[in-house]
Amino acid sequence: MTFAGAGGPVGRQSRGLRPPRGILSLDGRSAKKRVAVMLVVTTENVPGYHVRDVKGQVFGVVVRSRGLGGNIMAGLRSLAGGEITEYTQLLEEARRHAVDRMVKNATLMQANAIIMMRFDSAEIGQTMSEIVAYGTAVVLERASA
Amino acid sequence: MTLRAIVFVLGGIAVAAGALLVSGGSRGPGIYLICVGFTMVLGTAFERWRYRSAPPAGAHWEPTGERFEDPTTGETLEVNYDRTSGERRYIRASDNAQRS
Repeated sequence: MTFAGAGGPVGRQSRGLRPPRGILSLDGRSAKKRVAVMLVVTTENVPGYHVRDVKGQVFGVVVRSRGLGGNIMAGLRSLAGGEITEYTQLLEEARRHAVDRMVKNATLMQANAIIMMRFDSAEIGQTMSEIVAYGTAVVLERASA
Repeated sequence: MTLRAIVFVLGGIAVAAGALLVSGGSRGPGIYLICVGFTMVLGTAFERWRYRSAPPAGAHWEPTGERFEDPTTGETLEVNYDRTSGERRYIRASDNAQRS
């Protein structure tokens, strides 16, 4: 389970991007209350929490490619086999980029969690990689005991 | 020698071979080799593959607890989050420990 976001107060509330309060942080480092988080999970439910509001689908999509040099290096490396680190790097960067966009979009929707998150990937033009991160933006609230 | 250096050397050899051909009177193949060599060298030198998000001014970064190993460097990275803008950033866990 991965999650992003926990902690203290932040300014610029007038922009309306701040997630709702009253949500417990799940990272164990924060106080018991008022902490808004951007939790990203692949599960439908989060133990100890219930979904107060469903904001809708949220996604982050990116298409990335290595440059000519990276593709040449990957081609040479594939002659010997093993891990093609150039493309591992490409996909890792694409994953981060897609998740960042998805989290940003969820923040814009004033959600504090993304549930049922999934990745999808495709290839465009043999050297370009498309990564889509998507899920359901929700507002999670601590379930009363 | 890294693979990147090898590509540079191959590009340089192509440029040099092309120059030799041009000087020897074979202009067509020579120019072709020079172009291929320059493309290899420039394409490797100016490749943009690293992703970096643009941190907003005045961001208040908060640790998220998300950690993972960077497959490129092998370093442990932590993710910080600015809830105002929704931006995330990736920092080395060792750097984060020094700050806190």
